[in-house]
Amino acid sequence: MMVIEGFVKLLRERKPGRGLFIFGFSIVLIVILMAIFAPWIAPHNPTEISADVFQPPSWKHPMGTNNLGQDVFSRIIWGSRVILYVVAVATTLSIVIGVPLGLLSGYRGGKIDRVLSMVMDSIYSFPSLILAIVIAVVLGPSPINTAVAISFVYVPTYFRMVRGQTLSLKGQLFVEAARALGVKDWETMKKYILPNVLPTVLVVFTLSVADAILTEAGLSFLGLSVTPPTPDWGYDLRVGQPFLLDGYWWLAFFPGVMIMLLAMGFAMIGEAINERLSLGTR
Amino acid sequence: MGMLLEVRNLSVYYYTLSGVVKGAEGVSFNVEEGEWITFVGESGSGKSTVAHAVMNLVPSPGKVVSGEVIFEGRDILKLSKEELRQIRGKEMTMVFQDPMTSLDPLRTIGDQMIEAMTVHGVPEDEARERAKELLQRVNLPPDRLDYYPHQLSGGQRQRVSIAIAMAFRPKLLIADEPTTALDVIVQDSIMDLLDDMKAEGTSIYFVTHDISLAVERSDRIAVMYAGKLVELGTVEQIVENPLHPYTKALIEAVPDLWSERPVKAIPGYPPDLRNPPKGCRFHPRCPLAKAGLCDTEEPELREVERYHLVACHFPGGAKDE
Amino acid sequence: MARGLGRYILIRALMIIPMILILYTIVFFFLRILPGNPILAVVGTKNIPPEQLKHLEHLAGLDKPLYVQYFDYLWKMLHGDLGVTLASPMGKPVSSYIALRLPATIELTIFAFTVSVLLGIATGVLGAIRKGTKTDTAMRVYSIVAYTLFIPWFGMMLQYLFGVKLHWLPTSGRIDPSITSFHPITGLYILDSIIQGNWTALGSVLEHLILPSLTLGIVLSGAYTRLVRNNLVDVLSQDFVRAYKARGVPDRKVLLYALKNAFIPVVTLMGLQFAILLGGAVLTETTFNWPGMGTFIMDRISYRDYNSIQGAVIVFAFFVGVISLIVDVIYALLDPRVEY
Repeated sequence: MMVIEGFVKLLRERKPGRGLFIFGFSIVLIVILMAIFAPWIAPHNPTEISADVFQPPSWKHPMGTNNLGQDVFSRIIWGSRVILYVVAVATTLSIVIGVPLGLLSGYRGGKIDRVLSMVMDSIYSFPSLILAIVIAVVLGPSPINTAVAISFVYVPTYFRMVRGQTLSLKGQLFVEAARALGVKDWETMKKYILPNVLPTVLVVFTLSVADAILTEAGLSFLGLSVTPPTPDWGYDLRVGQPFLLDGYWWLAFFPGVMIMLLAMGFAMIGEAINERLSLGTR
Repeated sequence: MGMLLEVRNLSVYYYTLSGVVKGAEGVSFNVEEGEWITFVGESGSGKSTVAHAVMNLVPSPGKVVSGEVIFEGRDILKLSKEELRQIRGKEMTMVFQDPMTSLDPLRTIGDQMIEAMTVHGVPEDEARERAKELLQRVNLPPDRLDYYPHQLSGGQRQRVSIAIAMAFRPKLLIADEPTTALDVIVQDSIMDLLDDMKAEGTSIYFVTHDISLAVERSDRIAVMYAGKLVELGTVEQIVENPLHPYTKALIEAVPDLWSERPVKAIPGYPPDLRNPPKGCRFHPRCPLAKAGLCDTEEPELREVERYHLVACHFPGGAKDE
Repeated sequence: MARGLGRYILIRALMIIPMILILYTIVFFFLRILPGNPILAVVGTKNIPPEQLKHLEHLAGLDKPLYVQYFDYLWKMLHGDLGVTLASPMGKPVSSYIALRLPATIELTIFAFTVSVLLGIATGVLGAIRKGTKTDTAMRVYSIVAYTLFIPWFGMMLQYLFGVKLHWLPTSGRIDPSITSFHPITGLYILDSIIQGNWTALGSVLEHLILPSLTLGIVLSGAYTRLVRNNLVDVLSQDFVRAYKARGVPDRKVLLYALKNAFIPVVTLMGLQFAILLGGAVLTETTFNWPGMGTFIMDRISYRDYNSIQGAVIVFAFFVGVISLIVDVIYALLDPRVEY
């Protein structure tokens, strides 16, 4: 509830974060709508091969056609589904795994904490894209596998934040009181600590979604995500690269711009929320 | 005893995201050579703001919007950067409130002390010798020159700051709540140091929220409320004959260790300076406030007896006992 | 003091070992536990005589039980032996390939890092000293845009602009292939061309470095902008800055001192950014056909050469560990408040 109130307040006040938020939110909203209504708004079948190869942008093909004669615009619209799907699944998995582990580790402490922290820190400090590549390669190309690969890499992010918060909350009086009353560990974690940890999770979420999008794009650019002829922004970008140097810029330009806009949209939302939250505490 | 500093009609506003905060409005006063004057007031009264403005050091988003600060015949606010730089640290120096943050944590005490002198043309070896002497004057062993700030206690750090301020025997030392972050015993030693400086001819411009501290060593006291100077007088005048209701309340609010009189707090809260009350800024909390006068007309600072000025429509309190 | 520093370094160095072990284990798990015979995956469905298959498996060490493979490889790793390639060509020591590819990545990384730090500091300082103005907002926008740029796309756009349209800069490779007088020694082409006094080669190498370094460097600079700006704003509002001014220290010096203070947390960020740098390097190398570790991994993937991939990952882990150690030490040296 507080989150929604916060959103509404943000839109009302003339704070500097507002412009960022509106801009970012609009972009994200457009892409989401694109994904939902793809079958209705795409002018052509994105996988339909035709003889009209390398057509520059025109009325019939607003973003031109690619090397297989496919309509780039339609591929862009349908491509939004893959990227949103993968990132949504990946983030959900990361949260579902990372948050409880963070709670457990922070609350229980001891050996579990030490081992978990060490493992999480190791994963965290290693280049995420490379690790994701290895996992994705092994699992094979498919959106769900990509999602798993990405989720693996972001679990430590959520783990660390939640663990840190849990540690500081653990020392607070109301938790001690609950313990003194004989509330079982699991109950304490669920009822008392978790609700206080959620705002942090939200912040981490907003900051890491943009990152996850770029990681997904990276994986699909490297050919590890979907198989042709599925429309996918990263993959299309890769296909378009050699033709760029021949002057056919629209094959690569549009998929790449969309990736960037989507990541930027989420990043702006994250910035605005972050600013709002920290201004609130000052 | 000549006039060292003359402040005329000083106004300082802070341009914040949530509005323009009128931190100080139309403040005028003088400081004589060799005297100790203390500015008293609550948080947000503007006492720190005015002190900073005297050295043209008002932190952003604050800006001096009007007024003059005449120091030794020159308006500080109109000097060039270089002229100002030459005066600061030499003729006019300042000691800040929080000893934890007023020294650069990355450099040794010695480096900072010596630099404070070399920027004014003192050769380095001479500066080093003087630094050692200054440390001894503030009762610190000279080997502390090689220490980093985090290796000293708060009281010691504050003494270092004072030592730096003493380096050129300045005409004016501004001390912005120098003892607030320290315990009472250390407080005394700091006040003694300031007394020593006064004995050598430095005027002390002291800022505090603690009126008992003000009464201890000052020659004169200036009372500030909500950005305005409401009363100015000698210590005796202020203590024995406080004319402004706020001053009176401040004095009465000091708990008396030996009596059983209950502590009298001042009712209400300081006003929001983005939108200060019309007329006299104290009127919402004032027991003497008269509707039609105090809430519409701002009282001027007027001399009621020799050296004693007050800004009130009812100085001395017509209604009260 | 020096003895304390030595101990500090030693303790930090020891902490790298568990990290490498954990990453090795994770990668080993994923590469080995998964079903499928890697040899068959490479050779394909071609009918291969069982003896030859056995022979190949033996060569690759795949005929031993898993836990033996695990410790075997670990033991060899400690001796610098990263196993042999599993495919195309088969049986060559992985470390020899890495020795060829690693310097390319190092050169690219160093240049990109320099670009990112310089740009980041410049934009951060600009935003801080013009706090609240349009410049400040512009720097904030810059940092978000830079950070979310998709590296391959950005690289391609630069390639198109500077390579195709303007013909100013080359778009792939490390050096003009027609310069036959150049012979790599260390693998760091800049160093090599200077050692040999081959100035044409040096020019070409530098030319080829520009676009990839800019691509990676600009994208990474975004993170620094924010941190530098926020830190500097914080530091500038601290008492000691005003105290400096009150002593008559000139403004320029004050800014420098403030920067030094603001810079310290940035050093820590550099350590974290290194991992991102390596990840970005993979994308950059792929975009610019840069023969480094990134393209090496991608190549080996297409051949299902899991040994090589494993070896590369371990090398990466090692470097990440070493860099974070160096960062820690630099931090301790810069900040007198850190005890050792």
